[in-house]
This record gives sequence, C-alpha cells and structure tokens, in this order.
Amino acid sequence: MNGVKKELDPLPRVILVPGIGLFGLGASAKDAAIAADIAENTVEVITDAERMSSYRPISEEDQFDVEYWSLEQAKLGKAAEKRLARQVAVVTGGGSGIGAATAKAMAREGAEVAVLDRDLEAARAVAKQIGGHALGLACDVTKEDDVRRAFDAVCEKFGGVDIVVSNAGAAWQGRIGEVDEKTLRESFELNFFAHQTVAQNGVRIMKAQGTGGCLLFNTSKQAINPGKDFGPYGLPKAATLFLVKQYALDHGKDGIRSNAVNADRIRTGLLTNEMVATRAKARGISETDYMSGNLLGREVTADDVADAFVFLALARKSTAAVVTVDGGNIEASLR
Amino acid sequence: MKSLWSESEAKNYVSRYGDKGIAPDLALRVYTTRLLGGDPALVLHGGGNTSVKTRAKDLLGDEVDVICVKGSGWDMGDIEPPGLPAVKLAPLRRLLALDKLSDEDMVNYQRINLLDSAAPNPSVETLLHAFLPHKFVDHTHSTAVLALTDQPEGDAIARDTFGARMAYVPYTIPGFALAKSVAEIYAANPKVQGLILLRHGIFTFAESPREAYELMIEMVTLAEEKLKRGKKTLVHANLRARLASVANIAPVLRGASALVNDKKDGVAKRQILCFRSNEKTLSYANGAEVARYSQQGVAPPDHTIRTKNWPLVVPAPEAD
Repeated sequence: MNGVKKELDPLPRVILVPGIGLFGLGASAKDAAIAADIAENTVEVITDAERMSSYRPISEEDQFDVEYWSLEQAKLGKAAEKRLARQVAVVTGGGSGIGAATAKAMAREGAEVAVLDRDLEAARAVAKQIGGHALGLACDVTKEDDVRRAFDAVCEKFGGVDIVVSNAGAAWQGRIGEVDEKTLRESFELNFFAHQTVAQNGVRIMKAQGTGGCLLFNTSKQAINPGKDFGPYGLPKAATLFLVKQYALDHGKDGIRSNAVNADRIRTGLLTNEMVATRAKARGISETDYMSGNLLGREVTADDVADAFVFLALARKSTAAVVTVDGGNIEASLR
Repeated sequence: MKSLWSESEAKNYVSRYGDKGIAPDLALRVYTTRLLGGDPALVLHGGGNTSVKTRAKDLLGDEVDVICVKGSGWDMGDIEPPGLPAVKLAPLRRLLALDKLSDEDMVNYQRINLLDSAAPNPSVETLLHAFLPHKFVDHTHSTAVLALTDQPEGDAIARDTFGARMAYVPYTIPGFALAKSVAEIYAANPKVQGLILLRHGIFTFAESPREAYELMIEMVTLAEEKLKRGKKTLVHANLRARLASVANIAPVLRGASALVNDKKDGVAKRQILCFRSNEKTLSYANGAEVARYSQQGVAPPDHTIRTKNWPLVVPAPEAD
C-alpha cells in the first residue's frame, strides 16, 4: 500500500443498542439502508461463528489496507453532495400546493423528505412522486398527538429532523365586527397554534441532536397588509409572523434558525379559482389582474415559493428573516 | 440453500437476450449472476463477481477470446449484459508471467484490453477469473462460508467441511498477488471444483453455468450444515426493565454521530439513520459479550467501506 493516505471521517456507520436493535448510518437514507443490510448480515456471521467457537476475521492491519485501498474507495464514487444532502426535512400540508412543491424542491436539493398532510393519500402520492425513501404520513397539525406521532415516525425512519416547513394553513373570511367566535378560534387553531405545535416538536428533536436546525413558516401577506374581510385569516398569521421572531430569539443559541416566507396569491387548494373570483371582486378588478397584479406583472407559482423555502434552508446566517414572494407589492413590503 | 435454477427460465434468458443480439453464453451468465445476487446470504450491495469466457467479434469481424466479467458499479442481483464487460483474455493471461503488478497498472491494463472503451472498470478480481481455465466462474461472500472461516481454527474447519473438492487460499487483499497465488494453488490442485478464500469468500467453477451455480449452492449448504453443529448460545446481559423508544434515542444518536466543524461556523456533517430490529439482531446486541465480538471487524473485507470496521456500541437506554 503505497502513497499518502487521506484520513476518512471517523463517524460510525453502525450503532448497536442493546434492548433496541441496530442503526445503519450514511450520507443518505439509501446509504444508511445499505449499512443496515450489511450490519444485519454481519450479525448472522458473528452469531454463527460464536456458536461454534469464536469470531475472528482478518487482522486489523489487513482491514485497514482494504478500507484505505484506492480501488475500494473508488467504488463509493466522488460526486459532489447536493446542497441539502444529509438533512431531513418535514413539510406539513405537503400533500398539495406550496407544501407539495416545497417537499419536491427540498428532495431535489438532496434532503430526505417526510410529507405530512391531513389527507394520507395525498401525502403518500407526493412521497411517491419524490421517490426513493420519501415518507408520506397522516397528520392533522391541529392535534398535538398527531403531530407527535408523525415526528416520532420521521425519527424512526430517518433518525431525526433538521428542517421543518410549517406550511399547513387554510383561509377563513369574515368581517371582523360581525364574525362569529368559532370561525376566529378555528383559524387560530390552524394558522397559529398548529405552527407552534409543529415548531415545538421540531425544536425538541433538534435540541436532542444538538446540531442546530431550521424552522420555516409559511406566513402570508395578510400578516403585514390586511385584506378587507380577511381578519380571521390575517390575525393568526400576524401572530405566526411574531412566532417566527420569538423562535429566532429564544433558540438562536441552540443553532436553530427561524425564518418565514411571505407569499401572496398562489393558486392552490387554499386559493381556489372560486376564491380568486371573490377576492378579485372585493377589489373591483379582473381575475387576471388580481393574479398578476404585482410590480413585476407576473403570476407567482407554488414553485416560486418552494424556491424561497429552499433558499432560507440554505441561508446559514439568516434568522428572523422574511422572504416575500409576491411578484412585488409595495403595501405588503417590509419596513 | 436451495438451487433456484430453472431450465425454462434459462431458455427464457437465452431467447429474450438473443432478441437483443446477446449471445447465449452472456445471457446465461446474466441469469445465474442474478440468481446468486438475489440472495443476501451470498452477496450484498455490489459484493461478489462472476465471469464467462467466450468469443466475441471485434470491429473487423475477427473473433477473439474474451472474458466477460462483472464491472464495477453493478450489483449482481440486477445485472445486465453491459455490467459484464468483455476483456481480451490472451493479454490478461500473459500477466501471469509477471512477478508483481501495481493496482494502477492492473486497472489500466484491464481497461486498454476492453472491447468497449466506454465499459465500466472490470472487477478487481478479473485476473483471478482469467487465470482459471473454466468457462463459468462464480464468486460470492457467502455468510455461511465466512462464519466457518472467520474462526481461530477457520482453516482446519474449512478443510474438514469441504475436503479435497476445494482448494484453500490464505487471505490476501484482492488484486494481482491474490490472482497469482490462486493460479499457483489451482495448478497444484487441478481437480478441485472451487476455492475457499479464507476469511473472504468462495469460488466455484465449471464448464456450464448450471454446474458452477449448483456447486456454489452445494458448497454453501455444506457450510450451513457444519454451522448447525455449533451449540454454544450467546449469554444475554441483564437489561433495564423500561427502555427508551426508538423515536427518542434516534435524534440523540444522530447528533452524537455528526461531525461539527468548528472551523466552518459549526456546520455539522450529519448522517441519516436506518433502524432495524429483529430477534437475531436483539439476541446479538443484548449479548453479555457484545463489546468483544462486535469489535473484531467486518466479515467480507470489502464491507468496511460501507460500515467501517467497528460499530459503536452504546448502553441500553433507560426510559425517562
């Protein structure tokens, strides 16, 4: 074995936990599964050898020569890792619209993705489109037990969580002086408290890992620039925008970043074509003008919003930041 | 271990690949390579390799003796003909006259003798295959064979199990030196049906694909039967009554097995985890001597690139 050896990373690839089982580890879910397959195979070899006498493979020196043999190292490939490789992203409301687009965008950047949605079939369909090891899970984010169960399932599948995209939301309308309390409270449950439940679960896991993390929230331009008769939606969203800042403030020391995307007028299950018609009428303009009625004059899509979430997941020095994705609206612009 | 050979399936491969212009030798080589590759007790994730010696036409229409041998980057379980690149046999065999050959020179020489310059690198065990005279050569990292030979008296146990039907090759890292050593051992024992590469794996060879494959199954079965005579049981440790859940411990382990780079703003090089548990795994992990037997090293040496040599053993985690 000639030539200078470059030290390989010392991280374990197999962890044995008495009473629990074993973990395979790797740069991706695929590599981790390969390590686990091999570990299970090793368990068989060693158990059988120990039943006869004792296990004794080749010497440590010979093992070293194989581990550091250029022809073996070549088998692992040298392709550069994707930008979100080795990270686990959880996307709530991932079964459709912005959530689905974001889950796919995170996966394209190399993250392992868990798609959470109230509609299990929709979550699974998006996970299937992503392919590989992507996970589709049922989760009503307004139910604490559901959220806990879903995050537990993600930890069992991938080992933890690094990026949380708290995206699930829905719009309620009503004139604020007349709206019934039930509507307002329902909207607060989903558009504020559910974000808190999801973020808290993310922080719990990120703190256990001790390697930081990133909380991302889908707020709304309603949080900055309220629309007429849209109080039930805008009020909890405004509280969520403040939640973003509170997480940034309280958990910066844990290496956890907290950022938001402020999107407006994206055709999704939330802003249906029917609602586009209603909102356009409320403003006294045509539907086309409503959708592309921004400074750039371009309709904004779910993919544009997904790109902003990916950007914030990558922006290692940004926290308490809001990225506006609305084609430009000076009334809704920050500061 | 049962033979999965099916005469009708073999014919199927010959006709199906024949339609694509693939000769019967290579079609059958694909068939039994997949049979072997489909069983995790024989090979896992890129391990093992097979070859067939046949003839091929070059661009000028001249027939040339070639060896089609598993290429780097292919898994035996789902191999296709391009995963068995053809290398000119005569130049490979001339290398036997050399006393030594570096890995780099060996890889380069194999590449310049490929029929298709775009083919993947032929296996690092190509020369071993080439130096043997048989048409079909099969190589696996059988779990049972490794369990037999990865013991202090592994050499004697192997000889007792397989007798004179096999030849025995002491451990050497794959490459020219191993190929040359195998050629010498085979020359001294020309009647053997295969080789036990101690602490590495097993080769079987024959003129027909079925015979080479079924020899592998037969030898592995002998190993399995021998292992059944092992009567010692693993002594289990006393564990805590209430254990933590997988979901609770996984993030702690994941964080502990990430590399935080303080020179780079504390960016963490993380890993993804894959949890497995079954009766066998638990019996192994719960063993009173797990700290000893788990720290001896991996079984087939090439697994080290996937799992490293030593797993991390942590204490049984208590529930909160």
